[in-house]
Amino acid sequence: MVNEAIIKAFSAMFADEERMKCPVSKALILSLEEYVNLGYKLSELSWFRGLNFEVLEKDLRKVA
Amino acid sequence: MFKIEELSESELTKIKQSNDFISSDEICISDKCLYLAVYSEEENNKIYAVFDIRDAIDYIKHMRIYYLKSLMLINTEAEIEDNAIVVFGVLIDIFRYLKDKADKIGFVKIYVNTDSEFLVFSLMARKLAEQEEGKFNIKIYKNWIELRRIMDL
Repeated sequence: MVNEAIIKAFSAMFADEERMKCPVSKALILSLEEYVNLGYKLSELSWFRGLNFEVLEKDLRKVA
Repeated sequence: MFKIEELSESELTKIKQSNDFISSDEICISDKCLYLAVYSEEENNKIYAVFDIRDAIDYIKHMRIYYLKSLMLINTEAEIEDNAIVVFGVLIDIFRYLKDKADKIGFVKIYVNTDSEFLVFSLMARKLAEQEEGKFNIKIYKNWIELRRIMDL
């Protein structure tokens, strides 16, 4: 359930034309995707302290 | 899209004492830190996160984000999806705030002393320069990222 919901959230962000038209949104989403694909973990980012990103990381790699 | 506004000392004290935000006990109320709230106007100005940028004269240092704890209270699949979108939306709008600052004053310098944050900031700066070709010059030093607006001639 968690996996599917997180994949949907990311797909929704990529599919949101308004959001992807915004250079900052697009740059950040692409950066996070590249960061994960370089083998780093979102949970290592202090910005996400206290949030569980283990599942998301696995799924991001899959989507990419 | 969220709004971002500087918090007064009394608002910040209320937030610190409310215990509604993750790790908010680490919020340090001092003149050296600038704290800003990320809130939704459509939801009666509900604050989703607070972040500090330790705004020095011309640079930003050690940015930390304190998310609303209720973002972790999840019962349904739809809530997980909604909350994930909020978490990334908050981060996007914080970056937009930093970029607007560079737009306004001509440049922004970001100091980061951890590898993971440094990598995201530098990827982000490069991608932003690609997205807005000809608008920004990016310089990346050890622990420093500088985003400088290319001035119109």
